[in-house]
Amino acid sequence: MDRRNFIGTLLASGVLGATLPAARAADDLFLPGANRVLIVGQSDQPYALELTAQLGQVFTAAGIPHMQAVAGGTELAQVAHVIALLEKARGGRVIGVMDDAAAVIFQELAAARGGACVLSTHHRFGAGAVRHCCTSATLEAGIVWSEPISAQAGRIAGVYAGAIGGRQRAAPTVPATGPADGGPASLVSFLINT
Amino acid sequence: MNAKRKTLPKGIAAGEFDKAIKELKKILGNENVLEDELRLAPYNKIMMPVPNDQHAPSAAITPASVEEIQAVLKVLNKYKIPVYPISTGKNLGYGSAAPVQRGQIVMDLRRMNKIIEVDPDLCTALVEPGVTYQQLYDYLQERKLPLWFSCPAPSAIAGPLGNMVDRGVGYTPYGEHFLFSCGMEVVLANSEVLRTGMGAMPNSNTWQVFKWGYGPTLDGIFTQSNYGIVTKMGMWLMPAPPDFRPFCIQYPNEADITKIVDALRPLRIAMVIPNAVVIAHTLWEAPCTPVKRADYHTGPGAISDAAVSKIQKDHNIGAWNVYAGLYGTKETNDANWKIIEAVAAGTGGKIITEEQSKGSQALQYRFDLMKGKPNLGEFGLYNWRGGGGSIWFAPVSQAKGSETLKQMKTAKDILGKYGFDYVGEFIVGWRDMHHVIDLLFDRSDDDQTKKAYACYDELLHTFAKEGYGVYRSNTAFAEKVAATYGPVKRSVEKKLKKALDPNNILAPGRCGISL
Repeated sequence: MDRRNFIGTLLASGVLGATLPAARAADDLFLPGANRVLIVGQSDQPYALELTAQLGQVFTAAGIPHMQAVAGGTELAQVAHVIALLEKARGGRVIGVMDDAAAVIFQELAAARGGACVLSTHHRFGAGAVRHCCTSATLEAGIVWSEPISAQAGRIAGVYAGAIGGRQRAAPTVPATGPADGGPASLVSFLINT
Repeated sequence: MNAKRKTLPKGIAAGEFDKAIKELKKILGNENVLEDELRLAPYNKIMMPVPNDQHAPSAAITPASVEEIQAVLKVLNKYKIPVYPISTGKNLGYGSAAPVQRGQIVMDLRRMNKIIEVDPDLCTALVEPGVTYQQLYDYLQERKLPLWFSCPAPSAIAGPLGNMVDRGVGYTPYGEHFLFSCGMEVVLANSEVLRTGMGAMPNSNTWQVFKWGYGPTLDGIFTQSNYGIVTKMGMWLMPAPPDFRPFCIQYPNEADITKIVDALRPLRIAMVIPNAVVIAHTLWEAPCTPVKRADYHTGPGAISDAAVSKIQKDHNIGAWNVYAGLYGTKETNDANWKIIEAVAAGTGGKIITEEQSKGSQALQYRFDLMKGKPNLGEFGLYNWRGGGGSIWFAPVSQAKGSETLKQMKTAKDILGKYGFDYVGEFIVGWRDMHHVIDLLFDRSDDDQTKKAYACYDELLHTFAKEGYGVYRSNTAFAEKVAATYGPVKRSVEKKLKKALDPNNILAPGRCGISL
């Protein structure tokens, strides 16, 4: 997978839009070869489970080899459990979908083992809409967009599929809506090169 | 210049930087000199309300020995390139692993992770910077050594050396970590290696048991500073007591803080309660219970007092929740327990024992911390607001009820003005209190991020006007915090810097110290 595919996916999903010039050239964002991908979803967060399932479907359709794992918030706060998950993904990538606390722990433990979080998206769920803020080491600024909750899982799954690589599958195109500011539920998804 | 490089140290030309990197690779090997943006990502992840760019590193290096650090410093002096040493880089909410100033090379010491010695008779340890509390805990458990240490809340991933150097605190009787450190090894900017205290003497075996040595005691100048790179630290461990009795006392009203502090202070000073007592507000307890903020408040602005009261009732959380423990024999603890019961009864508090707390996540992680068992229970705080923004505002207060109430009210008013919740606790030292407030905000929201910056700024300057200084600060506010301590102290710090690091290569700007 290279940057062109990733940006192409973002464009196809309507995510980048006018913010495309903010994306910098970064051919090394993605490791060569679509080796192991482990998708970890937080089992006690319904949105996380929905996105995890959608990621699996999109990855299967795109021909990206992957494994899935779910863990509760309590397990994701335990060092031994997170390290076991990171071990499972050693030499590959991890996509995590979990709450803010679990995401901090996961990313910090990965960093302590030399892993780098190369893409991270914060999702804020409001009344009927979700606001995404996607940041990457290779983007000058975060990319922010909003859309109806019903569309969120498919589109963001497309973004991660684009980041990982494999055969392209167009993510669903949904017109952006206004921002879901101050919404109650918060979730983080991220991609780590382990 | 390396085409992938976008960040350089201030005032350093690309060609010079490339030359330095080449020399560093010769010393450390290519794999231990990180340059590309993706591998540098963990060193630019911050939770502070400023752009990541402000704290972006130019590179990161991972030396594995004192000798390598010495060689690296020779190169950095030659090119006058600044370096920012980190131990485990988990100073979350204070700057994490990112450098204090854009362009500094991060020196990540995580590969230096040896527990060099644990003396079970003298109850001491000597550790390197990369050792984590979890690692030390596992070491003691595996060897069945009946020794405890004090650790901070994010202990499982953080390390004792870094926490001590930043003058962090924990929750056992050894909770003032610098106080219970004993002996440091420091690589100075000129590559000399200094051992403090008795460590300066050849063949001494008292480095970890006697702090002072002869002449001026130097350890303090290597904490919250940038005068050297601490590569070893001695620390005192606590014998596991025959009887440990942790407890919580809950109080129903915010104003109760005055009587709590005035009642507990004598017990703390007399060491009836030997550990750092924590007095946690409802909104510190709630996220760790866990309670979801969205179930009580949606939309912008700070949560209302009425909603906070409802949380207290719904989840059996006090307005203030006091955590402390008795450490001793059954006989001494039985005697002191009567005092605790009398104090609780006299002040309207409700005692919860360890037995009664079964099933409560919030209480369990506190009780574990009070015996030095690392855990990550407090990370629940990050779910309260969501969005990954967190900075600690940590003013010091006298351990007097009237002072604590004044500080709490002032902080709550300022936080509320910017739409943030008061998520705070008081940690009782002996005669002081560390008033620790987590300013939680959604970092993916530009407006909240700007407000968080302005809020911290107002907190800092309002408290300073009242004579309250912070004991520790995030790197984004280092300069402003240092300024609140006045010009003479800063002038002395600068003179020391000039003497010890004339090329200003060690973390310039850390704690506001630079040439």
